[in-house]
Amino acid sequence: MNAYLHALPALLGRGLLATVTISVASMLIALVGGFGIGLLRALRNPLVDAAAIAYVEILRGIPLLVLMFFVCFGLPQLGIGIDAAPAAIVALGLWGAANGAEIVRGALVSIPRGQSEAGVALGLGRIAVLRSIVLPQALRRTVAPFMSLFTAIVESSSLAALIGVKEILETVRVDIENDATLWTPLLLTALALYFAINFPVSLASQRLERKLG
Amino acid sequence: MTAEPRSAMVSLDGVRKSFGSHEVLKDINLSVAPGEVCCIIGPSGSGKSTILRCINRLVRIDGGEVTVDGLRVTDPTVKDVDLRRRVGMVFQQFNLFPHMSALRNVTLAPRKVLGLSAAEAEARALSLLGKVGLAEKAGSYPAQLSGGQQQRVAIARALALEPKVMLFDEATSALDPEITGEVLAVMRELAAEHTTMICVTHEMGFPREVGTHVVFMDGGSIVEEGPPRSVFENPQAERTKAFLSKVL
Repeated sequence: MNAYLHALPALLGRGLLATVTISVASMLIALVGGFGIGLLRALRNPLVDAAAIAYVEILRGIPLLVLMFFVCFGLPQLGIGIDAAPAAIVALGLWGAANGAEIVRGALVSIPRGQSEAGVALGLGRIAVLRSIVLPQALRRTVAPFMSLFTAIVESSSLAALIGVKEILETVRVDIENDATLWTPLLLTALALYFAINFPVSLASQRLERKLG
Repeated sequence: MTAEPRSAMVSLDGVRKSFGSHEVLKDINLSVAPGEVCCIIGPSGSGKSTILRCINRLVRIDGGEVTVDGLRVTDPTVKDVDLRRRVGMVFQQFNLFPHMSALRNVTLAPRKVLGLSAAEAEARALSLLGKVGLAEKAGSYPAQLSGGQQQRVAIARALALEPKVMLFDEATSALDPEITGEVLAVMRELAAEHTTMICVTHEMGFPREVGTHVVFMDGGSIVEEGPPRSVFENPQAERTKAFLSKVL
């Protein structure tokens, strides 16, 4: 019990902070990048499309952990030095942006064609149709999948333990190495912490969906 | 009454259109004079809707020419917006914008396309919603309206740019029979005001009573056309006779 209490401050302090920082930063990259790429694809420029498709397919086709290793250990060999925590954010963010782009694209194409056609027939230009008609309807359909992506990002942030970032899992691992009796209490605490981060994300999703509905 | 090509509001000359290897329109010639109510009838897949969509460039034609109020649709210097503000279109599925109130559905184009102020656009929209009998529904969203009401809002929306010609693409086909009447009543009123109208329809009563010109299409060609009386009561082509015997 004493050892557990002794281990808690690092877990609740630095560990939790690192997990939250990596997660939130990656979510922001996923959100901004996802909308950026998704909306670019709505312009239907063949070159832009090809670049976006290549990005999305490559990023979704490789394991996140391998990507993280590459950013953390591969890039420095190519002369791009990067610390472990920023490397985790870059990898998670790039991966999240690829998935986010697909969410945005899927939401845009899910709006019936008659909607943009009605706008076009009224003399609106392509950008106006997108902004006034398609995007407002598509936005609501991105909320639930983005929240799933965000919770996946929080969960996947634990991969950063493997490149040495002292987030929740890595903090737990170090303590367990010193005292094997801590397995159960520390891992249960870690699980509770992940849940405590993700549950509000879920709640926010439901509220946002209602608001946009 | 047959219009002289020069005075036509809408004319199609030798219009051809294919989707892939499927030829949807084969050498279509049609002239619609101002104030005319031209009704296009015919079996599904005969190219009726495609004709409408060629008129406002929703579909680009492969050959021939379409002229709307003197503007040629194949002329690259004619801007989409100049063409489309002259042509109002009403769709089978209404296509109202579900995230906007009836009022905003109608004010959107006047504001964005004509640059009207909010107050001007609202005044115009309210008067148009009044015209279709829905002034009191201005604040309602499409989901709160019946199909007939939605289609009447869609007509008001299409009228908001004060178009020279109105296109109706099976405007009553998605409606229950008992509520097609309220939409047809609005269309009748427009016809009585000498609005130039081109209506693709499966409804045979409307072209008979209101149409000034009836066009029967089959297989991408105009098979027969003329005043409703002659097409409906004295059809010449066998295909027209066969079609009418099925639908009348």
